[in-house]
Amino acid sequence: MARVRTILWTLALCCCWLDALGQSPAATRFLEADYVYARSALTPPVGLPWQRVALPDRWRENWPDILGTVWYRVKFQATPVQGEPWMVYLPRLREGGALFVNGQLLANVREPDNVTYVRWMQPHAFLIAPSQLREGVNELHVRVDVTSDDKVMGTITIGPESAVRPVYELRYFWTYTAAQVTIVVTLSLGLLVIVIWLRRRMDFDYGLFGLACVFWALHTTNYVIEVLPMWAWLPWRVVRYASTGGFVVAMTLFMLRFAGLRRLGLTRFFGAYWLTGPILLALGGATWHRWVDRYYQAGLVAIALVMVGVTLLAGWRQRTPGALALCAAVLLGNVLGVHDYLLSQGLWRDPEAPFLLYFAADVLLLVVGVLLTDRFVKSLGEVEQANVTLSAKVSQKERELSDVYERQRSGERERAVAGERQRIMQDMHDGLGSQLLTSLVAVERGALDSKAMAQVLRDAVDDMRLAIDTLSPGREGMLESLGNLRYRLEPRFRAAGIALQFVYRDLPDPLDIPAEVALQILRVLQEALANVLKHAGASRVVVEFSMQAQAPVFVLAVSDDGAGFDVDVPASGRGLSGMRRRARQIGATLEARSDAQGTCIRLSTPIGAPS
Amino acid sequence: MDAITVLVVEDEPEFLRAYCEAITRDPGLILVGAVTTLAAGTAVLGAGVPDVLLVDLGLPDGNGADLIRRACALRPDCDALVVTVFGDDAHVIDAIEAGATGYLLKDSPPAELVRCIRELRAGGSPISPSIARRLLARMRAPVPEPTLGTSPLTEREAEILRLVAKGLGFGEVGATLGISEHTVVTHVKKIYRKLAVHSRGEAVFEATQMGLLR
Repeated sequence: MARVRTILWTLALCCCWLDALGQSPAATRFLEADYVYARSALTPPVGLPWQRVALPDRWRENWPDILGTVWYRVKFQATPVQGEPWMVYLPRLREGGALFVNGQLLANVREPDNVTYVRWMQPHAFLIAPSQLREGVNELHVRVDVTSDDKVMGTITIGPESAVRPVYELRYFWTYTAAQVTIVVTLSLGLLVIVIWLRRRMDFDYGLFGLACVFWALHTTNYVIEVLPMWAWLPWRVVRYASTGGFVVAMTLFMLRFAGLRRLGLTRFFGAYWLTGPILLALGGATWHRWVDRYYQAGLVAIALVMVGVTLLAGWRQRTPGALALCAAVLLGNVLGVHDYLLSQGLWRDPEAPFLLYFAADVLLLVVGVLLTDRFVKSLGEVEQANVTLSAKVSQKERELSDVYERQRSGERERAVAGERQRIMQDMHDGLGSQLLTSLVAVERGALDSKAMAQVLRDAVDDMRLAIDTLSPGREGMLESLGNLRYRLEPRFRAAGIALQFVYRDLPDPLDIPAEVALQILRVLQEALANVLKHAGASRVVVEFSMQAQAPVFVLAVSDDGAGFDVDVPASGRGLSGMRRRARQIGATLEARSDAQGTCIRLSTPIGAPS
Repeated sequence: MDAITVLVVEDEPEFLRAYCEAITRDPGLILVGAVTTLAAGTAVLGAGVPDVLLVDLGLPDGNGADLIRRACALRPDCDALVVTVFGDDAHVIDAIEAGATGYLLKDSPPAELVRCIRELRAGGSPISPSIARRLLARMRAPVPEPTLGTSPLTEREAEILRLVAKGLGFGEVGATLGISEHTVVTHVKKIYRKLAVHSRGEAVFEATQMGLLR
């Protein structure tokens, strides 16, 4: 925005300037003067042969190989309004000098010497007090020391202050203030962009743009540094050509990339060319200056023309507003660049016209800056959009994963249910089914009396109760099923007059044993207790549960004080073979010991081991 | 002590006969009726509620629990004894909520039936670990009615249920808590009664919520 404001200001002042020239008939711009060589440095010479010369007076053309002290003289009619001072205005007094009005010293403008380089880019204006003027013809002398044939004596404007000052101030703004503003703005912007680019290595376009801005700021110092020690002159010129070339090359490379022409060869060629001028000057010293100034800069103009071509090509291809704006800016910049080059070489019609390139460059940098900002904002938007898309994709994947997981789990559930059914079917087939079938055959051949049949049926019902009780869902563990079994059997033992005692030792609570394992353990227990009821003639039975924690092994021991039996005779085995079969199914071991003092059945079941 | 009057409601003739025989053989028990349907049972109750109601839940014309509810409404100190095939928790809990104070496996020997009736009249109730656990869960269930509190059980009653649920016998529970076996079953009967009241409270609350009662 600052630069936009500068441009608007410039345009406004431009109008004022034209306006002011039109309304100042009292001011006189001298396009020719009298001139003479003279050694007198103190006062204007008298009696020497004055000659007429056109202004501006270029020594390289008019007086080659002649150096020395030169006096210029103009005569002007003064009709001073009472009290108003007059003003003398010199747009270009590049190497300083002294001004005299009617033989009296008016001003000394610092001149270069052996240790100081002086080159005034700003215009000069000095007030002439009314007392220094006289009615009629007045004389102004300007003394300059010509130390090189680069010297140019510019035009001289004299008139009342009110007529001359606006012209002077406008030129001051154009040649000096505007350059200062440009330096501050482009240097800040360039450094900012470069820092951002270094922190976030995005497109190199941004880096090129930042470099171009910084180069342009350095280049523009050319317009504001006017006095400096002689030793600093050469380095300063090197920097000046390096920055000018750097700006042109950086912008050209930027345009090449903008047009989609990323050729490493071109980049290297331009980069190499950029270095030649400054290096030649640095190595060759001041004697190379003129050649570098003329031919190196001509090469830069050529590169800038490449940039114009590339930009126009991109504009033609892309037809976007941004590309077209770049085209316009580049064209403007090149037109004005050529103007400045011609001006600097004295080839322009009005040698005192102001240099204009930096305004065009400002416009170009502004357009590029807007383009890159737009691109940056767009890419930010794309990143945000990408984030949204990404999170949508992630949540979709999440859903898919959870679907897969759900299917997997329901598959597992179905397999588990199928396995469970298979086990129950097998259990019914081997247990209750075969028990009922055997009894049926026995009944059919009349081998069972009603008491024996009742016993068979009771056993069948007990087994079924056990299965239902153990396998129904919602059981909290084996202790509950054990308690239920005990609760069911207790009345029978009470009726038989047998004391039934349960002993739990070191059992964890809850006792977590898989239902199918628990069912087999409880069946063994139920069978053992049924044996005690039926056969033992015992008065007391102790059921003891314990856990060998190290293994871990769950141990069930049923001891009675009954008559006992021979555990090795199968016929009197009293279901021992059935108990052993169940023990095998769950990977448990069954020990039976019986003598005259009673019987002990001991079942050891490893918990957590594969059954 | 007065003889105990008993009404039997059972639709299967074999069991009906077995129960009736066991009751009539015992001199301390008087069989006041033996019917096979809910309707007939209701009719008998109209003539007077017996001390003990022995009822099967799955009757041909309805649920035995309705009969229990009616009997307890007419005579709160009536003891309802439910007979079940497998002692399955859900049906037993339903019956207890209806007001039953005991339950019996269908194939229990006659002596056990008579013992159970006597124990009921003496103030005690049997309970299995599964039923104890279910009761604990029921009574812990939050009840929105503030006057009922979150759990109507006393600490002692809850402790008894917890021990029974772990598989301990009544004798062991009594020994653990330093009370007699008979005191344990007395507590159980109280718990049954509370569950019946509790469930009625819930029913009233829910009815109020649904706008049936104002």
